Amino acid sequence: MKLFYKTFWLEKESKKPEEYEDALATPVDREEIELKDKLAFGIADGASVGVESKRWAEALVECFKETKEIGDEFWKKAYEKWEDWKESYIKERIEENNPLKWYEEEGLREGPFSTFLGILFDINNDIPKVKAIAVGDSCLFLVRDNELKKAFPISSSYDFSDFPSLVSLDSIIYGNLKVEKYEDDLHEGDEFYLLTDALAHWFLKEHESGNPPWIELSKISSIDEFIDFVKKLREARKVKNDDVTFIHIVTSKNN
Amino acid sequence: MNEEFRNYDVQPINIQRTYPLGLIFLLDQSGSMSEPFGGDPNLSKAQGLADAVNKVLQNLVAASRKGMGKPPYDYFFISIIGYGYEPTEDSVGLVFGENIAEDGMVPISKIAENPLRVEKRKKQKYVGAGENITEEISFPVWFDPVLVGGTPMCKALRMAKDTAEKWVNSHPNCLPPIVFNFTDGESTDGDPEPVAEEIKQLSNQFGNVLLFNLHLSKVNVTPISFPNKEDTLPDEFAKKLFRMSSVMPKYMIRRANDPQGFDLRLPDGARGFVFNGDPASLVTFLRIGTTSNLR
Repeated sequence: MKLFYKTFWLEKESKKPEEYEDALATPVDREEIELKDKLAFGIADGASVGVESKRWAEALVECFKETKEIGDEFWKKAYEKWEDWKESYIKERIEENNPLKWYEEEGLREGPFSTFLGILFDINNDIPKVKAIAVGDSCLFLVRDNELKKAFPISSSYDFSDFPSLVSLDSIIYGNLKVEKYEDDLHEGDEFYLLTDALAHWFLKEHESGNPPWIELSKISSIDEFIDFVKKLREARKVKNDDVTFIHIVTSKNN
Repeated sequence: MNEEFRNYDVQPINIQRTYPLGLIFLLDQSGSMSEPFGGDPNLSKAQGLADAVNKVLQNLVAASRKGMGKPPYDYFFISIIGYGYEPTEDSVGLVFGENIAEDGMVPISKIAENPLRVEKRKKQKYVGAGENITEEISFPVWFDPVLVGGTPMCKALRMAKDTAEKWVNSHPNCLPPIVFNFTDGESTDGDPEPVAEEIKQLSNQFGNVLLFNLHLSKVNVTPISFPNKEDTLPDEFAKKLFRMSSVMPKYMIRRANDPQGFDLRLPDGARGFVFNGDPASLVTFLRIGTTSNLR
């Protein structure tokens, strides 16, 4: 079995690309992969309430890509990655004789926050599996035979909130992460849409109105087309002005 | 502009550097503020209020923070006006520490850099499974409680009105500012209702200036929070403060009612008003009023 995938992202309107606070990770740079063993994809949405949340979102997706597992080891590794960075950053500031301000100290104490969605393709079984984990409102939509087979972890547009669950350092240390899990057999032709909240909300709204949103999304083949698509939705006020991230994955036969 | 005009379901504009939010705090500094707060003999109303406002300033700095090594973005401009009474005349004025005292509104980046001092305090943190841990936190203090006699609320509201009016005129594309008035007693310099009405009538394209009132209680009774009817209130003083308070915009009620957030279940028409407020309701009141969609 092969996987074909494409990734797209866009910062908020009137912001610069470097101010984009989502993150995404894919197994390799190629857009076509032979499915062997395990392959991991992740998206995350760094929350502006935390300090360096973009860095944290990146740590989460990168560690998921590396560990390729959905257990505690992954969260622990992301936490360690953050602590390593924190230690070296504080050292650097001391060496520069530029002590942390009180609000920077408090920021580091409170730590960063991010949503997370990871999806793992695992063919180390008789039947190939897809496994997903999520914290917060970054979503996975599985389309099979032109039907929405699964919306995960949010299945109604009404369930989005200004206060989604987030991965914090404390939630990892004290074991109170609100992790949602999903597992299914992998079918040939399955299509996966990984979307951060603004586009995920639009996706569900469209579906609830009887429209198949995956048709439009699946036609997008270049970043220019994606930018044009998102700008039109923003102008029509169909999506809020937020960073947007989209990974489209399709499975197919080997030939 | 009619107060109900443009009662938005969603916050009409996100707060950003080019569209900052103005916040004006009026703090009663009368002698009775030395009384216990909410029945707690170890906490005066003045100290409880100073702690809460210092804390909200800290939260606004945190909300404006943009990564390590950078000053906070100026999403908020803040004025704090204290009102009390000295033997010979009313005393109403800005109460920021001397190092940042200035007329009008102070940008949050300047506030962040200029606390009077940064204390180390102990804080209980809930870590799940019914367990708390104690951790040491930095607690910046911008001002200390001051106690100086009477309650010249009219004069303080007039000063807030002047500040709000200047802000509305110079920031036509920003959300109108919010005025928070904290008091434990009746005005000693006349009827504050007409000037409160003048504040509530100030407006721009996004609606009216909001005036929220919180009355601090000496005793431990259940606070009346964000009521939408006058006739359920216990006395004339409470009814007057209710009438002086703005109807909360729908987007603020929506946020207050979010089951994953404050989950307050407020009715339409709820006003930004708390009577017999205790320390917990003071914190909620400030959080509801100052939590905005940022960009």
